[in-house]
Order: sequence, then C-alpha cells, then structure tokens
Amino acid sequence: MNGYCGKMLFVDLTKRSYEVQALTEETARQFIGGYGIGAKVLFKRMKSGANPLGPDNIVGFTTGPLTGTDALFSGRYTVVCKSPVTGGWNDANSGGFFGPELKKAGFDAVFVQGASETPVYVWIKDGEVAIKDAAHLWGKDVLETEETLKAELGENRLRAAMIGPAGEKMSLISAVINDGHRAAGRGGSGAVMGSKKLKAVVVRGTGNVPVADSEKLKAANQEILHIMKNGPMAQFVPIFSTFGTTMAVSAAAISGDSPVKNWGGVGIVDYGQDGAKNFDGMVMDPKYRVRKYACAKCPIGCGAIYNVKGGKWPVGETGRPEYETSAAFGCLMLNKDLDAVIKCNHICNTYGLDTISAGATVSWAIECYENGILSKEDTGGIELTWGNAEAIVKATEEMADQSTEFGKVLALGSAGATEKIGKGVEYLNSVKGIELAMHDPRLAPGFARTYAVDPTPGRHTKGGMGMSQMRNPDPSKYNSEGSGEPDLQATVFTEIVNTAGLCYFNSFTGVPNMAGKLMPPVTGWDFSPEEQRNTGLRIYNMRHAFNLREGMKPADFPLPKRCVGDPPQTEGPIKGLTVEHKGFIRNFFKAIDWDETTGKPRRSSLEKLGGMEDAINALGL
Amino acid sequence: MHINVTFSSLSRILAGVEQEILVVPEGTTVDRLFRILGQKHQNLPQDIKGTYFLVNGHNCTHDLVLAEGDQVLIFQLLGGG
Repeated sequence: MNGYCGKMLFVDLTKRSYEVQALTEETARQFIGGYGIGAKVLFKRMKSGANPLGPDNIVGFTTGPLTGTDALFSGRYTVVCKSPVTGGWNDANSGGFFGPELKKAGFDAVFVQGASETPVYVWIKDGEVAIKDAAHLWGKDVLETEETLKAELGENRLRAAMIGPAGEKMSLISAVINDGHRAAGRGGSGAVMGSKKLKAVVVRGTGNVPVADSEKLKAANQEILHIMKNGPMAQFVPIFSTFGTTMAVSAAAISGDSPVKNWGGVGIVDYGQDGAKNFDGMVMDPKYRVRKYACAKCPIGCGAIYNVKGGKWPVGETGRPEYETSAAFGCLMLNKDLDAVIKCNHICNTYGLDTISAGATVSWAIECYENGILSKEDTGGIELTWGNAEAIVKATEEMADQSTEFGKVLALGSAGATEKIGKGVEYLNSVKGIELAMHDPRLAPGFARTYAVDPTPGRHTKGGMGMSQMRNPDPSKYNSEGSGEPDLQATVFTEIVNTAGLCYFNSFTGVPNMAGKLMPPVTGWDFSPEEQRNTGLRIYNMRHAFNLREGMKPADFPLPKRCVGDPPQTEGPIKGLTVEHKGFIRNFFKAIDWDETTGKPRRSSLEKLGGMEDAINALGL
Repeated sequence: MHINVTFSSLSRILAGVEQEILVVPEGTTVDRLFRILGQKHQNLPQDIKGTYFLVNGHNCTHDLVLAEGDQVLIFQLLGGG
C-alpha cells in the first residue's frame, strides 16, 4: 500500500505485550492517517466512560501517508488520546523528525493501552519491538532523556516522543515532546503517558516508505518550489523562512489579534508598541540566534535555535519561542522581558508543558493575585503581578517541577486550578477546560466557532475561517450571513492537511491544495476534490462522535465572555465590538448537518459518507 | 502636512525602516498614503487588502482623510503557531 507501512503496533503495558495488526487499505483510504486513523481506532477499541488517567485510555502516535516520503512539508505526526482535561477526544500535532522515523521503522501508528507498574519506554527499531525499563530515565528532562537513550541504545540517530517531569507528575497541561523542542502540546497527552508510566516511544528506522510514482512526486515537489518562488506569497516566503512565526508578534499584540492582560486588556494601551517589538524575530534573532531549524522535508525551515549565554536566565541552546509562546508569556501577562519568555519557553520544552496552557494558567493566576483571589501566602511568597518577569519565571518553574503546593495547583491548568482552590472561575478563558490559543475572535470571529465547536476545543490550527479573517481587515468578516459553507470547506480541507502528515504552514507558500497535489503520486489514489471533502467530513465526524459518545453536547462548550467582546472593549482597535458568534456556530451546524441542541449528525449524512457504522450504532442515530 | 508613519513587524521588514515622517498633501486619505508609501518602499505589498492601518490607535476605513500630525501604524498579520 503506497504511502503506508500497512502495520499498526498495539502495546499493552499491563500485560507487557504487543501485537502488530494490519492497517487495511479501506481504513487508510477512509481515514487517511494522523488523528483520522487515531479516532477510528480509539472509537472502536475504547468504551465510553474510560478514566483518561486510567489503563483503559489509549495513547496513540499516528503518522500520515506523506510522512516519511520525499513529499515536502511532510514531517508531522499526531498524538491521540482521551483528554484528561475535557474528558473527550484529544489530538495534538507535532513536527520535527519523530513521525518520519516511525514510518521508516515500519509502523504507521503505535497505540499504547494499559499501565505499567514501573517506568518503561517502547523501543522500535526496524520493525523489532521491545518494552524496556525506564526507571533510570524517570525524573530526567527531555534533553537528558534523549542523550541517555542514544548512549544506552548505541543509536545516535534515534528519535523519541517523550514526556518530561511534568508529564511524569501528570500535569494536566503536560505535553509530549520530540527533538528537544517540538511539542504535541494541547489537551494533556503528557499526563496520559505519565499515568501509564510510559516515558517515551523511541524509534530508529532505515526502511523506505513505498510511493506510487516517485517521478510524479518529484514533479509535484518541483511545482511547489516554483510557486513558492514565483507565486502570490513569493515575497513572504523568505521572511517566514528567516523569522518564522516571530515575524508578526508585535503587530499581533497591538492589533487585537493577541489577547492581552488575560484577555481583558488592550494591546496598544496596556502593552504598547515598545514592549511588543521586543518579541519580533528581527529584534530577537541578532541577540541570540545561532542557526536555523527545519523539520523533516521542509523547504522553509521556520524554526531557529538560540543560545542564551548571559543575563538573568542563561539557558544555553534552546528553541526560539514561537508566536503562541511569545504571546502567552508576553502580552497575555504584560511581560516585556524577552529573556524571561525564552526561559519560560525552555522550561516548558524541557519539562514537557504546553506553552499556551502554561502561559494562560500563569496569566490567570496573575489576575487572581492582582484581584485578591490569591494571596501571597497562596503563591508561596511569589508577588505574581502583571509583567513581573522574575515572578513569572518562578511560577513557571514551580508549575513545571511541582516542587511547591502553588506549583501543584498551577500544574492542573487554569480550569483545574479553579476547581482545586474553589475560586477564580471568573478569570478563566477556556473552553471545556482548554485554555484558548493566542488569536482573538474579536479580531477574527471565525476563531470563536473553531474554539467552541471543534472536537478539540480552544485550538487555532483546526481550520475554519479564523486565519484568513485575521489577515483581512475588511469589517464584512464580522457578518455571519452565508458563513456555513465556506467555514465548513475551510475546516474539512484542514482535516486532510493534518491527517496526511502535512505542516499547517504549507498555506504560507501560496500553493493551493498542497495535499491534493502530493497525495496522488504518493498513494496512487485519484483523491478528487469530492473525495477530499467527504474524507475530511468523515474524519471530523469521527472525532466528534467520540465526544458525543461521552455524553457531550454543544451546550458543554460555552465560550468565555471576554473573547467575544461581552462586554466590548472601550478603547483600542476592537473597541465597541461584540462578536455575533452564535450566528457562525448555527451556520456551521447547518452546513455540516448536526442538530443544534444534541450535536448529533443526521444518520443519513453519515451513511452517505461510509465508514461510520461504529459511530451510527454507538450513538443510536 | 506631516504624517508620522510606523511600520510594524512584517511591514517593517518589507519597508526596511521602522519609523518615518512623511510630508503629504492636505486631504490625503489612508488609501493615498498607502500608494505613496508603495512608491517609496518598493517591497511593500501593492494590494491594500491585507494591510491594517491604525490611525492614532484606532481602526479606520481607507477613505479616512488624514490630519496634520496623525500617527499611522501599518502592519500585516499572517498568523502564527
């Protein structure tokens, strides 16, 4: 089967056993890869009501058909599980090199269930599998862990998806980290691995992933490179290649794109241009950049490695903070200290925390402290005030290592923290416990629909109209009339990108429908626009069905008031604005044929898509 | 009249300058300013569609007529992760 190994590995840590099962062509074609196959497998193998931190949860590491081939932008993989935050479907996407290495090692996906009594890691080398003791790795950060693994296995080129101490201690905002600074961050996947005492999945592969037509794949790659150099984004590609997502941090902070002061502030008033521009790549890079970083098969290479040797927090070599991190630890808490943001990013990477949730949680805690909800006694003496860089770093350290009672509270994430302490709920900015990403629906209302309706709430990388609206100042974007079909199209298209193994930033190249260009030469499928749409719909509905089976309904996902301008801001670029988010949501439900109250899809819609029998039966449609 | 122009983020990279004071005719609109800047800084986008303007900290329409001493902030948003 071209584009696939045709094999999935199922590991049972309770029984300390594993088995290899075939990935059928039918399943591959219907669900592609990534969280598509992940949702199909987990829906089939899990029952509703499983404790997310118990042995019945399954954590999966899934790739796409493009991953591991020569297709450009194809370095992505996904971690799937039941989220310990939402109690529903979770998927989190990461780049780097782990995904391609897993394919070369002979597997399209690895699923782990059960729980070990003692720490272990799964070692996969060219199809051979072993469950190995990880007691000596428990407590190590991700950099130390990878170094130790390479030495003990004698494999300098291995790749690993692992947890740091934060995941070991089951922080609900812990991430799965690979390649030192790439994160499958959102939704608490790290905690699920920690609950199984699974330190890492470690892979080394020398195999090849079969492709249908290597000459046509080469030609498709050439066409992509040509469009990048000569097409509508030709001017921006080199800038993105140099500065990555840091190219517009200050503009985002003052425009209303980035949330400011825990979503209650105004960038141009409370933060200012002078503070914001510290975090633009053109300001940061001359100070610290030592080299570029590119994920597997990426011709852009939007990452960078910094070396911070001096100052208050000399972390040495570390990944450049991305936009979300710079916003979450920067303008969200009125922090103008670049070194502090780099330090917090480094803590999150090495201990294994989601930078969005971590920053948002500290920001929540600051607002609680400033308003007397948290006292200095509660914070263990940390004066957690807006923009206080030392306090922010201290709180982040304690959240990562849970060395203090306050740190243990923060490690629950903002929603978990309010439950623990019984207060502070008025300062939450989350949907179903997931802290919102750093793009404000008051500037781009499409994000309101995505945050509330995607089966993984609070995300900015799940399609919809938010990203395109953000780039467009035209006020017609606030009118929800006719939004249903374009919103749905932009959503199902993203399902294909994410499950094929492509990077979300392929959209920055100006190449229309890159997945549609690369999938046929790799898989040999026609992959017509109609098939792409139906496949995207099927995958989206499968993820949604997982949530419905857990008893969730639309009313369980209310948006926090600040992010929709309720009440509106009184100054700044988005003053006076309240987002009519219910119209966008209603239109989306109509376009995708879901009941507005129950969230249930129409049976006939799913029957038409095919491959949804499990969901139809389980949901009693 | 004198208009204070600040380029932010991507615009700053494309223009090659962070701030400048432009002398423009009375009655110049935001749209006209954009075209003047496009002629001066050839790398700036030629299509006004994706460009944000904040005049004295506020959003504006492209037909807004500028006044002496106005502070105009220009930028694009491309998205981030």
